[in-house]
Amino acid sequence: MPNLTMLNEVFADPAKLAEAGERLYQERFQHEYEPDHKGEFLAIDVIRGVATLAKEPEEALGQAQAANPNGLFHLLRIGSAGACSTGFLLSNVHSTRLH
Amino acid sequence: MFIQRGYIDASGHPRFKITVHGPTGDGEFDALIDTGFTGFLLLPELAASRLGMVSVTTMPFTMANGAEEPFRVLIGNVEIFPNEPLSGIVALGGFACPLIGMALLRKAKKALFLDSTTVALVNEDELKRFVGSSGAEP
Repeated sequence: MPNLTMLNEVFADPAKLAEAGERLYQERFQHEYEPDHKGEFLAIDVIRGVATLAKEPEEALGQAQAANPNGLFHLLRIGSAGACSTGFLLSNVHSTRLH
Repeated sequence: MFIQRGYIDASGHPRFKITVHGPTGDGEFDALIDTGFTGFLLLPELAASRLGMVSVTTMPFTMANGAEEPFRVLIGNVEIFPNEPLSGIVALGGFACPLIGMALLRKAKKALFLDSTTVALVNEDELKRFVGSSGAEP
């Protein structure tokens, strides 16, 4: 079952989930995946503490969700700070601001 | 050659009509093409919620100023050419209209044609017959 406290926090602030996912990545998965899988995608289930690797982001997330439909996930590109980059059109957008 | 025509809006941005298929319905949007966005699609959070699209996943984005920011994301289904559904990572956030990123065009195998008055998407393979193909910059 998902952690309901975390689920509530995710809806209010995705940074909480991202922080948990990044922490898990650094502690458990970075050393294992970064040497041989740079540029590939990892979906980290922050509830179970498991990771799913794939070449495409939707593939990694789809497989991770199939394994745990109740999971909370952090999706990242191995070896990159951001999984993708935004242009200047998004300069004034904040992901946690709801309109 | 099959062409999907878009239009240039009052601000000079190229736009195309897209259909987003959500769990509880479909939505049609006039989406901007953002060649600086390397992802698939950005969708306004409110529009996504109306289509029943709920995210329990985050993904870090590198913003134009170099800052890293997590966005809510989910797997979404989009049509930019009729009857050519595409599945990819859709990011949700507080913006006014959807943004089409380069990953969507790459996945659709479409090339963007843009001049001062016209914007269109054409099949990549057909366009390559005219302009040739080139690799990435060394």
